[in-house]
Amino acid sequence: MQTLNVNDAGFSYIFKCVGYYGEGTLYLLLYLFVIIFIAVKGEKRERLIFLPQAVTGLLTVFNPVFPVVLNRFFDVNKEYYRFFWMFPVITAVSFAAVNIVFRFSKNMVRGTVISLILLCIFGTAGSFIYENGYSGNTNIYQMPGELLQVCDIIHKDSDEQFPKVMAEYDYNMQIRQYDASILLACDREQYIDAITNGVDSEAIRAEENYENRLLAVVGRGVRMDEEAFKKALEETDTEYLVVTRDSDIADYLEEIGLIPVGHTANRSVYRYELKEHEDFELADYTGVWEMQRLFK
Amino acid sequence: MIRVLTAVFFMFFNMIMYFLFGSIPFSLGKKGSFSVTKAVFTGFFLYYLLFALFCIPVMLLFRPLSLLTSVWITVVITVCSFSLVLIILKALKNREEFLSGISEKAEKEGRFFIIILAVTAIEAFIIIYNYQFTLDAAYYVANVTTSVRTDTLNIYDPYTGNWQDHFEMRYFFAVFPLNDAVLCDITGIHPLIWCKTVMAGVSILLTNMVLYMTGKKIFGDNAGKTTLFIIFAGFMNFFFTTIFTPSVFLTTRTYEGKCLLANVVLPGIFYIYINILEDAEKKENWRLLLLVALGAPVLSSSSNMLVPAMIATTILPLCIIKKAPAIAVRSLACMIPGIALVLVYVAYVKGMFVLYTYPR
Repeated sequence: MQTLNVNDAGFSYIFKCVGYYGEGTLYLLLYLFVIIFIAVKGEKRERLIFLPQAVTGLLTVFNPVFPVVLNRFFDVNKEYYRFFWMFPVITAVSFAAVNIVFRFSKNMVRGTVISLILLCIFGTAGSFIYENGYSGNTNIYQMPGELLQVCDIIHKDSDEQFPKVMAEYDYNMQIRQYDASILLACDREQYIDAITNGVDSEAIRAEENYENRLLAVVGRGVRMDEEAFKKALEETDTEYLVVTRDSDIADYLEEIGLIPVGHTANRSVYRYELKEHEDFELADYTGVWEMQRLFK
Repeated sequence: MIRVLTAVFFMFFNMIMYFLFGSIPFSLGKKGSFSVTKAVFTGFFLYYLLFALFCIPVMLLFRPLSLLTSVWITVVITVCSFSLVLIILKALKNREEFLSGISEKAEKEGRFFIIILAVTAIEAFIIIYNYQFTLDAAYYVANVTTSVRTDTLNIYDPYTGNWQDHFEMRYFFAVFPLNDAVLCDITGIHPLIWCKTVMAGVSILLTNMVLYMTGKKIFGDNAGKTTLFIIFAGFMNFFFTTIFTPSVFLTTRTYEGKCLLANVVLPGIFYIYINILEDAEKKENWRLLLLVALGAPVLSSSSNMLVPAMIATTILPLCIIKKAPAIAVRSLACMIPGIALVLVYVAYVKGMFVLYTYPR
């Protein structure tokens, strides 16, 4: 929960956290209903299974004071919601559903009750995982097919074992999952920050962080001074850029003299001829291992 | 198609491996306490705990992944062979009981078991076949790919591929992705296929197995109720998915250690709680809890805080309910591993120590 802060929210943090957690669904409320149902209708054993944890949870995790105190010792701002995982919501709700179904003896009635419960879940959930559509994978790597082609284009064109690349957001997040021979100029946090907060002119000018210029151009579509951008490519040792085909940025890269080395249906790969280039080599630990042998 | 079948084969290969690891304590123990699901559950945590005990020293000596692979193959073959011999000996010794037990179970629960397997297979297919773009894969999956490509252990930054001068303590003890790397190294399977298909399938199988164990406990071995319980739970997992719930980790981030924490470890402790509720004196329950407490931090660093918290909110109150102070002592003992790792991390964050990736 990136936007929620215990210091700002104080004792209301827990209520906001519960709100964010459920995102308008009845997830935790349903758990509360089930706990009340078990307390009222359940047998002694069932009450002993589900109630003690719910009570200690109310006194601790769901207590408004608890996150405030805990945050004095550990930074729990972003991850406090994970304490909610401790409560067996799915187990308790499914238990209650089965319990209701088996209160009826006739199969016809049971079938109707099961359908009603499923409808109830469907109606109260409010967030079906595939509500925005279900898209099957096109390959066993579970990656966009074009990403595999982009990697092929880069390796065929490059003499390097480890070429360095700057790609658009989604490819930057995915490319090294498929091919760790490709190095990236910007890491995940830098990219997320640039996408969320933008890259201002001061950051673009800053010479201690040339990655900002790459993020401004490839991540935010900023057309900047040719020299400033090429300086950033040199300083970060970035040789390849992957951008959307026929986009404004693709035009810009061609205008400033980058060489198109290949295209897929929707992406273009450009190469920049580095003036000074340092080969990336894997660290050699054989000397360290020799030393370890000597110590033995 | 061959790759898909290979992936499915390795899902079951993993489960068999966990079963063999987990069978050892049961095979060496008293007669009659054996359960296949409990053996898999035990073996899963024993497997990862043992793996961490071998992996961390290799990592601290800056040795390559290939060395860890050789060591780990030897350990796995030894443990599995030993377990297999014990199982065969035990089965031969109690042959009649063993055979009648199987046929009785098949007659009583066979058709329900097939339904549960079918439900699990459908869930697994829907989840694994769906294309997902998740940001955390840029760390977890890329860590496996990077380790395999560079033949190193946590030396290179998964996000960029750059060399890191120190180990990131947040992930130092959670070596779950490095086990994936070792298995990719052994099998030659691409890390993406291993993480997003094989381990995703394993996570779904384990999740439903823990639900099955819990259901059987709650419903007193009633197979029909347990089956319906799993169907409801499976259905809910697809519908109660905000970006924070365990269900969303199960349906979209299935390859992460956090998915196992939310859907296997914590529900697993709840299952152990029911066992302790029934018999707080049974040592087997406490040993299993301790094993979970030791094995869970290997899966995800979040376990360091959540496992002690889960024990504190779930099992600790039993000392008042049952008026048994021994429960408090045992619960606190099981909370120690997680708390100790939290303190190590706090010391690192406060700058009290750094573990470099080269000798200084």
